[in-house]
Amino acid sequence: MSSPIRAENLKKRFRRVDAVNGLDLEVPEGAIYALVGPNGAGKTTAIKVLMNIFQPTSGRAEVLGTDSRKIHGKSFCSIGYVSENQRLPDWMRVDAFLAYLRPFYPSWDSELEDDLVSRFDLPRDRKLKQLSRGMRMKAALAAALVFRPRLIVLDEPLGGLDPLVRDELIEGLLDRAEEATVFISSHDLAEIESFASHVGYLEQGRLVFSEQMGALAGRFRDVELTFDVSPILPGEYPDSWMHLNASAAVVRFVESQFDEGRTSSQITQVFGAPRNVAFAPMSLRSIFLAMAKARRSTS
Amino acid sequence: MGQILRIFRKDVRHFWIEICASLLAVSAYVWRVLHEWGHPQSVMGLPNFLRGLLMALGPISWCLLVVRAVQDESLVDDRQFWVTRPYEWEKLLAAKALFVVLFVNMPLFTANVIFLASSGFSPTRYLVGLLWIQLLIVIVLVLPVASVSVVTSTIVQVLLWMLGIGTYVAGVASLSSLIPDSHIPTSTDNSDFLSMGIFAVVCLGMVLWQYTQRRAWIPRAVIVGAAVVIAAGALVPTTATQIARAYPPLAVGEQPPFHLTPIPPKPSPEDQDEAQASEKKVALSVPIRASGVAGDSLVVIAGTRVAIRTRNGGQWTSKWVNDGWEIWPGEQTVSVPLEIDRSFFEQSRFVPTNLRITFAFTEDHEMNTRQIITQAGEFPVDGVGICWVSSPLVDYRERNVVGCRWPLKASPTLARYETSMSTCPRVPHKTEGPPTTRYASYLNETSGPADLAMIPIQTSTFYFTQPDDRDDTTVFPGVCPGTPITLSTPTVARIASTEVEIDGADLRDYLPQPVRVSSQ
Repeated sequence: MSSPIRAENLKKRFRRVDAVNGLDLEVPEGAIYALVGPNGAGKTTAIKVLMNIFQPTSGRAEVLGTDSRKIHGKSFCSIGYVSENQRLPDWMRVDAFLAYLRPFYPSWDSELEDDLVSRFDLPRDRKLKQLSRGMRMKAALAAALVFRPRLIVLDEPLGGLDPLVRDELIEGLLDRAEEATVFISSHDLAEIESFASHVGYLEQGRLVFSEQMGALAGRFRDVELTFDVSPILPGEYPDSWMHLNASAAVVRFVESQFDEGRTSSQITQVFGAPRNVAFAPMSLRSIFLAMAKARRSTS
Repeated sequence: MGQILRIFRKDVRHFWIEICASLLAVSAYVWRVLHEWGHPQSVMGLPNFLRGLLMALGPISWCLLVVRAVQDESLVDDRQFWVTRPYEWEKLLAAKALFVVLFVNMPLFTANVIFLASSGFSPTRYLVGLLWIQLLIVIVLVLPVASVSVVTSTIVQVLLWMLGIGTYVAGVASLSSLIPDSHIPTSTDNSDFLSMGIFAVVCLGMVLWQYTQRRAWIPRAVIVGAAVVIAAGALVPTTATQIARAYPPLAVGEQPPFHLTPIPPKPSPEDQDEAQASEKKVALSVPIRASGVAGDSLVVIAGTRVAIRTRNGGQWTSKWVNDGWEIWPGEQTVSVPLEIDRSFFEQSRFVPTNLRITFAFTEDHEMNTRQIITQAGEFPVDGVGICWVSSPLVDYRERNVVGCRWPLKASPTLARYETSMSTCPRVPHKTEGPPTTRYASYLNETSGPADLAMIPIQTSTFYFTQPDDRDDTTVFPGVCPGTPITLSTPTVARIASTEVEIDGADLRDYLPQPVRVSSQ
């Protein structure tokens, strides 16, 4: 299976700051890939390098099989890009905006245009500058979906939007996801979790992990051990355990390589036999926070 | 082509107000000028500053249009939506070029054509010159403004850049005026073209770079670098070596095209310099008689420099001074001005001194000589345009002027007439001077077939040399309808320098005398 997005040791340096620092990334075709990470992790910079808005300092990236440095002009007939802070031609009316873009794309689907305008409830006769932030984002997304791109790249599209608008945007996006690869960066982890098929965690310009959402959810567990008496926390325990802590007779930690048999065996080796063992699945947000805290305490 | 037209149409829709305002400004200017031409006596009641504003509004609006068109797809911001759309840079640039051609070049071209036609010239005959003006507007206005626009994202930023550049230029000009310089023309047409060409290529390069690469720091560095280079050029004075190279001394045995003879000054009273005793500098003037210029020649003194050596070992050399004297056939007196430090003057005033005056000159010969007979009112002159002379009814003192209106630009021209052929009526109660030849010239010269202007018409006025007229009762007949005039094109025959030496001079004798250029 080919990768619509592939990056090898990609670096982008701004003066003394390494915004992207050796990014290795491979996005499978047909995936809804969520790039997550704390503020300043380099998500937006990485996307702008992929879109050839910035030139990489070193390393290389390919988007739809084309070197990212050669992505321009007609390359964007196959790429729909939306960014939360994109400057749209605000003086245009929605109708004129779509009409202006229409001839740029051979694959523009006028029926889909009507469908998206209707679904997003876009007022065709209003100027873009008169629209709310959510409506502007919907207009931008409509203009990025309507030509049926092979790759949809969204940079923080959901930030600051009310839940209704977010749902509409995600629904609109999912309708197109069957025929495209979606690459989305977001802080809205709860929303991402509901539709992303893959997730990559970026921190300080590096990809810490990148895997299928199911696999990620499968390997992280909140573990709660209940003892008869308060246990003594061990000095050594498996590397895959994070945030080990005790409260009275209860010990909690996050298992990042969960395998019920192996994890149970490790628990027995470290603590003996607890009275009760509970493995709880974790939300993406909880996994994200656990990862972020673990890396912060390590650094 | 489709994408070019789409972007162009979008720009027109976006900037229709600016476009209309620009066309209105140009139209108002054209209408005002034509109205004034048609009614030269009417003043229209417009204050001068409003007239100036009206003239400036067209070019200002063109600058605005260039900025707005370029910045509508900003090339410096990484948040522009168009960057991730299927824009092709060549087509984007072509769309902007089309916008500029239609709303900057075409209005200028149309105004040029209207003014030419209204002045009695057929525009089709001057198509090359009109296209040259289009090239000039691109080089002088469009490209520089576009260069700044491609490295900025708002009109405020453009204004700040312009303000910065303006302040910088003013600062360099102020500094330049503080540096003792020798303002002698040493450049040639080719160097003008070369400078203009380099400027255009640099600006065009910046624009192309931004449209292809969108990395603004390089063009910004180029602007700063160019400013430094220009400052260096402006602040480095023209050296004596450069002038010596431009005006080499005559070869041994080579005769100058004119004779220079020092005129013995009138001895000054002892207290002659008391009037300026408090000044740090002492102004002197050395009278020289120039003669011997051939009948078909003109010598233009580009500059003079004086070296003084005193018997007690003192030395002082002036900087080059550009006087622009025209030495015609016959005799003329020129006064070489020089300003020396008072301390040197005080040391030298009682000591015999040696003055060596160097004259840098250009010798022009008449070429393409043709005779015209002046007519009443306006009359066409081949190779010139439309000329006129004063009416015989005007005061006799004003009958020494011929005016000409040139299509596109005035060319350097020499004119002369014989007073014996004058058709002007005799002046009652005045004695007619002996027959002589009176000369006039128009020597302003700029490169290329036309100058950049909305009105592609230039007026040159030939003021004929005034023979020494101190005798109120003697007059020399002027130019009136019917007087034959010989016109010619000056051709540079020689550029060189020559020297005159005055030995045993007393500097006090050269203290200010009310003597300036005159012919005898």
